[in-house]
Parts: sequence; structure tokens; C-alpha cells
Amino acid sequence: MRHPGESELSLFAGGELGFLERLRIGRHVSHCATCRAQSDLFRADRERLQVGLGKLPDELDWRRLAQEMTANIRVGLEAGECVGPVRGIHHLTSWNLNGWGLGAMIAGLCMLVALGWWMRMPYSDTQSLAHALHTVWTGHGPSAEPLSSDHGVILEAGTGGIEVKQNGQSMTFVSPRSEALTVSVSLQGSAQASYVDSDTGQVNIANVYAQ
Amino acid sequence: MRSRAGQFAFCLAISSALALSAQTLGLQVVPRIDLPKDSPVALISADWGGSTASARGGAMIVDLHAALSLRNSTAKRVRGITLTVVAQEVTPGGKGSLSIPCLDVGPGEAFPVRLDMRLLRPLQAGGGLPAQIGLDGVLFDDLSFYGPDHLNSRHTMTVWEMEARRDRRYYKALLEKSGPTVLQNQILAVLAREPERLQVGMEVARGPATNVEPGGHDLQFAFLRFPDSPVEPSDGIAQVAGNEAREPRMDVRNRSDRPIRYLEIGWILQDQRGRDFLAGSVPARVTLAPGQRSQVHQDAAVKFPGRPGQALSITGMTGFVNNVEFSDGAVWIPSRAEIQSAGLESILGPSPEEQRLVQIYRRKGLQALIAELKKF
Repeated sequence: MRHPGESELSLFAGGELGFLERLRIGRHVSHCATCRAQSDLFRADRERLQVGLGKLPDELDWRRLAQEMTANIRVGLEAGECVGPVRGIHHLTSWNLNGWGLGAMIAGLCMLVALGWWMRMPYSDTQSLAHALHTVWTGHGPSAEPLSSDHGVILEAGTGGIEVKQNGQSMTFVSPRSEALTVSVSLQGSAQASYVDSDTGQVNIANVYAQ
Repeated sequence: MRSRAGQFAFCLAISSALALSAQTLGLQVVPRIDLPKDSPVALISADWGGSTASARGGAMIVDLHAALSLRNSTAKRVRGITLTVVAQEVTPGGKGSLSIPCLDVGPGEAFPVRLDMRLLRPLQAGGGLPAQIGLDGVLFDDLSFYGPDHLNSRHTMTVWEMEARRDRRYYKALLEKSGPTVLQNQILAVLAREPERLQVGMEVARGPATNVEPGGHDLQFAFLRFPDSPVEPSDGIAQVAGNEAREPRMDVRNRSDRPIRYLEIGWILQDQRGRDFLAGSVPARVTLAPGQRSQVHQDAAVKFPGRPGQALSITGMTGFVNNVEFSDGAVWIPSRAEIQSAGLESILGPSPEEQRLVQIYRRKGLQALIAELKKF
């Protein structure tokens, strides 16, 4: 006959076993005197422990405990004052939450949200949100979208250089070193900017490719 | 409670400012220059001062500002060079090129290359150099070419060299026939045309659009016909909607006695006020035997960029043969007489060589221009 382990008997004594396990161990304990005796010991220990936890130590001095806690709090505050001597911080920490402090906190939060939006949110999403807000505000939709927004990558060649646009975002890729700029596009998907470099006197022709 | 709120606000402001600085300030970069072992040009020096890479959103912006010095290591004179500048092959805006036509660099001579370009690469692209510079091709004075030619540089640089020879011949003949004053007046006329030439900018997008603008319609091309052109265009249409024209297609016929492998059709758009704008070029690789017909088609769109208060709409289109490459590599370009008679001077703008000559006149005067023309 195989006896259950100590942990199983301990759990059985505390009534913490699952249904099937409890049936199996209980069946064994009812027939095995050794295991039954051990299970009873575990149960007795458990009951003693629960009774002990309900009582506080007799020697506990509430007055002394309160004094120690107050002293620790004061030491902590003093230490905080020692490590924060910077004038600006001191001034900042003394702001009134209902005045400048609250304003600064809101401004900081707004800045963080705006920064996060600018860094992570695609421009097209921003535009869509703006259009949706515009529609809600005015009660009618915005003006028609330019056709080119349907295409993926758009190359623009203009007097300011060459720009690549995608998902509503644009970026300048060639910034000319000359005022006299000749630009053109090729339908194979490239834009060209031609200018005379002011330093070398050479004609530079820069191409940017959409793909 | 109050002090904690103040500290919190202060920390937020500081961390926001730090994050903003980290995004804005770029790190200095030194791109790699890959020249083939048998390259006809050698790198003497490279100054990358001011070249930076900075993160913006999910992309890295690579700002290149370089001053390179290259040497012609062949026995031939270099007429032009094209360098590839690649931050990321597959990212839109990740690949560019810099060409310098109209050079005259003798054997063993050095020449400068100034590079000012911005490219994009994804932040997730991982390690490696932020940009690589390579050689796409070098054109020599005998019109021979060296290089992998991934960007069709051979054709493009040959066209520029042919235009340069044509324009130098024209100005030299003008000088010899009519004297310096007439040459000067002609250069001043080019300068005067610059502000007149309408450069409103143009957008190009590859691939089909996903929707169709209401009111879009097919518009017929009118063609300028050059008597010497080896290609005759006819029956061209494009879909036009407002300020956008897409999917140009036209029939072309080889009327020369030589096979043709490449051609470019210039595309001019007219707005509602009758003004002409050069929209761009429609290039096409073709196989056209003498007398054979074919159709040129590009699945792309061009558009006048929208400007506040400038509602441009396309009311007419004109096409002309810009250049043709025969199967033996020879290139045809229209003559100056053909360009003048077609009234294209003010629309096309100056050729690269004409830009260079005008710049010499502006900075150094008439005598320097005459001396430059006499070099060739």
C-alpha cells in the first residue's frame, strides 16, 4: 500500500485538496491508522496556530510604538529637506496646487501627450481625426480630397526642391544650394532637381526615386 | 501633496524637453563609399561635416552634406558622373542619385563633388551604415560609358552631353558670326526667361488610383512634330480630372532606318488661362524596327500641386519627342532650331550646359564666357 506524502496529508487536514484528491486521500486515511494519526496532528497544529494569531502579544506597548512611528516620519522629512537644497526645486515644490502647480502639471501633461502624438501617430490619422471633428463641428463634410491622396507615394518637384509624400506626410529631399533651380518629374517614378552649385560652379542634378 | 504635484510637473516638463531634444538632434554619420576595383575614378578625400542621422517617428532621416574629391584615373576625359546614394532600397525616399554632367576632367585630374541630400530609412532597418554611396556610371568624351547603369545613367548622361555639345556649338557659332554683343544679348535673354518660365511644381505618382474623380474625361494630345525626329507620335490620350492627368498613352512610329530601343516623350499641360507647364517626361523602353508602330503607356499620374488661391485645371495637352536612343546606343535630340520654331525654349528651360554657361557669365562676366566657349 502506498501512503500519501506529508504535503498531501497536510493539505487534506486543512481541507485544501481538490474534490477527487480529497476523496482518494480520505479513503486511504479511513483505512490507515498511521496516516490518520499524522493527519490529526496536522489538524491540531493548524487549530493552535489560528488561535495564536487572534491574540496580540501581551508585552506590546502602543504608546512606544506610536512614538517610534512619529520619530521615523520626522527623520524622513528632515532627510528629504537635506537632499533637496536646490533653490528652483524648493520653489517649485512650494507651489500651490490650486495655482501655478496645477497649471504646470496640466501643461506638462499636454506637452507629453502632444509629443507622443507627434512621434507616433501617423499624419493620416491626425488628418482623419481633424476631418471628423470638422464634420461634427460644422455639420457637413470637409472639401474634396485631392486625387493624389489615393496613390501611395507621391513625388513633388517644385522650386523648393524635391519632396516625397506618403500618407499625407511630406519631406524635402533635395534642398538646393542655388536659387536657380530647374525641376522635372519622370513618369517612371522619379523627380529631378538641377542647379548650379555655388561653390564648385558645376551643374548638380539630384534625383529622388519613389521606389 | 503640493510639493509632489510641483515635482511631478517639473519632471514631466524636463523629460518632455529631453525626449524632444533626442528626437531633434542628429548624430553625425559617415557613409560608406563603394567604388568598384576597376573604377575610372578614385576617391581622394571625403569631408562629411554636417552629415547627420536623426530619428523622427518610425523613420531615420539621413541628412548628407558632403564634399568629395575624386580623381580621373583613366586616359580619357570624363564628361559626366552619376553616384547612387542609398539609405534603404525599398523605402520611398530611401534612394537617390547625384549626377554631374558637363564636366571636362582630364586624365589624372581631380574634381570636386558636392552632395546635399536627405534620405529616409526605417528605424527597424537595424545596424549597418545609414547610407552608402556608389557609382552608377561615368561618361567619357568619346561617349563610351563605364558602370553598372542601374539608373539608366548611360542614356541620361549621353543626352546631357549631346545637349551640351549642341548648345556650345550654337553659342560658339553665334559668337563667331555675330560677335560678343549678340552672344551677351542671347545669354541675357536666357536669364530673362527664368522668371517667366512657370515653375509651379509638379507631382507624380506611380500606379493606378483607387477612385475616379467625378467629371474626369479623356483628353487628346496635340503633338509638336520635329522634321528630323526619328519617331512620329500620334493618337495620344490621357485621363484628365481637374488638375490631374493620368495614364497617358500614345502611338509612336519609327520613321528612321535604324531600330529604336528607348524614347522619351515630353508632356506639356495647359491650364484654363492658356499657360503651358512642362509636366514631365514619358519614358518608354521599346523595340521598334524601322517603320514599325507601337504604343507607349505609363501607369502613372501627374498633378499640379494645390496652392491656396491657385485652382489650376488642365484644359489641353501637348506632346513632343524629347529624345530617342537607337539600338546601337546612338542618341537623337531635337536641334535648337526645332526647339525655337516650336516655341519650346521658355517651357523647357535651359539645358544643364546652358545653366553652367549662364552661371559663368553671371559670376565672371562676358570674357570668361567667351574663354569657356573657346575651350572646346
